[in-house]
Amino acid sequence: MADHSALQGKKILVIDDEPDVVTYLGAIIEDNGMTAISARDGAEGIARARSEKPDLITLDISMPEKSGVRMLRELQADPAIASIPVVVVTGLSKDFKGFIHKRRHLDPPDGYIAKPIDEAEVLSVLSRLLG
Amino acid sequence: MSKPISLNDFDKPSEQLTHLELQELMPLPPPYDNVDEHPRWAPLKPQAREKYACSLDDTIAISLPKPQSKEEERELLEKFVSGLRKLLSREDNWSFLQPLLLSLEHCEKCQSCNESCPIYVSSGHNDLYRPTYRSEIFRRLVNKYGKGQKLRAKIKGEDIDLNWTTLSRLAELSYRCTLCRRCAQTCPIGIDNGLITHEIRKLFSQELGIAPKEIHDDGSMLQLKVGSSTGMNPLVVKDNIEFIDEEMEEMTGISIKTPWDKAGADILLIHNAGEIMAWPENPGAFAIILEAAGMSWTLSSDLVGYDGINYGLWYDDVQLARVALKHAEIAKKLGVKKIVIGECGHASKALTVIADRVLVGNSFVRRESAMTLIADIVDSGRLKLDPSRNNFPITLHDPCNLVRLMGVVEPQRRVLRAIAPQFREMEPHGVHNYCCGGGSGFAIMSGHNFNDWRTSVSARMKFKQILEAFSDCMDPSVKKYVCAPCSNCKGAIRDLLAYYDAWEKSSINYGGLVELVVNAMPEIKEPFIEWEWH
Repeated sequence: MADHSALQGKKILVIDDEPDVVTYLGAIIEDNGMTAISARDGAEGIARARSEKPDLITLDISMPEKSGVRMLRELQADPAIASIPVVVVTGLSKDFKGFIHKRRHLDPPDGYIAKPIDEAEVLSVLSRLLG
Repeated sequence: MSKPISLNDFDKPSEQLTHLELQELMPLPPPYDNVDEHPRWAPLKPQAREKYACSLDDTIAISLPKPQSKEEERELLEKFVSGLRKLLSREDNWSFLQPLLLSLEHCEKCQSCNESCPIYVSSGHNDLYRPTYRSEIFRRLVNKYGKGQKLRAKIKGEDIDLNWTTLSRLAELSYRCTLCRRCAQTCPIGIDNGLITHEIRKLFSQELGIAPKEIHDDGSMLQLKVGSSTGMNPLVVKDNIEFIDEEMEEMTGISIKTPWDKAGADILLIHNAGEIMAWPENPGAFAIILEAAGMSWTLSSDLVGYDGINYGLWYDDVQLARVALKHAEIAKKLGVKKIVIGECGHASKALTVIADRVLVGNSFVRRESAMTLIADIVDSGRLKLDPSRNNFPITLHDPCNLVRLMGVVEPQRRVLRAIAPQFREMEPHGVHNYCCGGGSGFAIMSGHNFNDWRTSVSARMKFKQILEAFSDCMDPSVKKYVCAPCSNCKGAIRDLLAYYDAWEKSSINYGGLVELVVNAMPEIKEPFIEWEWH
């Protein structure tokens, strides 16, 4: 059994428009001793990131109103929250990673979680970034 | 040496009908002629062998689960027979029945087609991969289980038993052909074994729900639900294109802002959406060319409108119709004069000659390949072009769909002759060219060890052609470019070159046509072709 004790007490902001994903990710986070806060869209996500200063943000790419791609740019453009690690949650094809990594004026996200979400993968990514 | 196999072996249970040894495959030219240096195939994992049908050959394409009970097996066999009869009925298969029957009925078994098949030749002439082998198995099934259909069968021992072995092997075997149609082209009377393969796939998909996951769940269904087979919804695609526009402007100094949903534009450009993420320089180059040439154009952000992919082309008429009709509907809504399909042979064929079968009456809308549009722009002199900026060896891959199957042969050559002083043809080329090995969905199918099979077998002839085209400049100090104006082909060629380390060893890179056009524009600040592996 993997040791996730380093994750205890960390605050994770889940930005996703799908309530089921927010619930599921939230459950994984809370079950492992972390605190989950959430936002349903990009605008709310930016606001909560600024006000709550989470230890890590999970960011859905395919959201209505504002895509996760745009959100990633805005997060990185704000010095107050640019240093928060961002994990992109995506059902996009594997080429998306390559696309994001090659962009000239964007730092790639700190990690990826593929949809459908797998608990072990989530914990592995969070441990790597916060452990 | 692999044991020869006969048609009579097909319905007999055995662990594996055939096995390929690397030494038996068609030899490659230098410097890739040493088979000991070629990658070894990954064996199928024991869990895969346990769970999925794998008694055909060394790989698995469709991950077909073995039935868990006799009842389940019987149900599959009954569905197959039901599907077979629908395939042969006018009501259920009005779109393709006539050419199917002609091909099933009139084959004279002369075997002329087999030598034209790159998969058969590359396999070392393994009988399983003869186009006629698969078709003849199907004919026997039609004769025995089709109702009211009796085809001429001249081969002795025409009996066949439909059992789980037959069904699972046929399902897999229908994914050992890239539907390239070299067989049909070679046949003295035009028998189309590629069509027969397509219809077999259709039977399995529409009646039994059997199709590769990458094509159905991750392809067709995702496209209809989200907007694109890539999973990009309209917001994501717009943001990604915005990224590309900004970088194009930075690279070229030309102000680019891709128009979206512009009503009344002359052209609705539809890319294979995969280009946007995998090869963003390609849609970027299109934007530069169209803006610089003063064209009136737009992309569409409607669901499906930004993705020319139509996976139904490979295996399912219902999916094919759904997507084609959607494309036409969007074009009409915008009031554009025509749809232009970007560099994708698959999308080009799907939305032109095949969609002709569904876009009838009020659904009709004009459609054109990007090749003729770009050639017209280059011919018109609207762009200043300096060919010396493309002074490196370039060869042209002819995508099957665009060239052999649509006859779009010359425009891309006209462009290359104008902008590429070291352009040389592959042999054979034009309508006689060979498939990239990734056709019919293979380029996106990599489950199990299928990548080994497709790069070693179905793409082998293409690699041979590339190496022969560059035989006079194979030294790695000379950077070389395979121009492949097709997303699917680029994916296959990318995997092929990566498999053999051809970029590191021989400096062979690849890309589309429009990138070369932009590279030749003297006003752009930086070279557009970036000589790095991607």
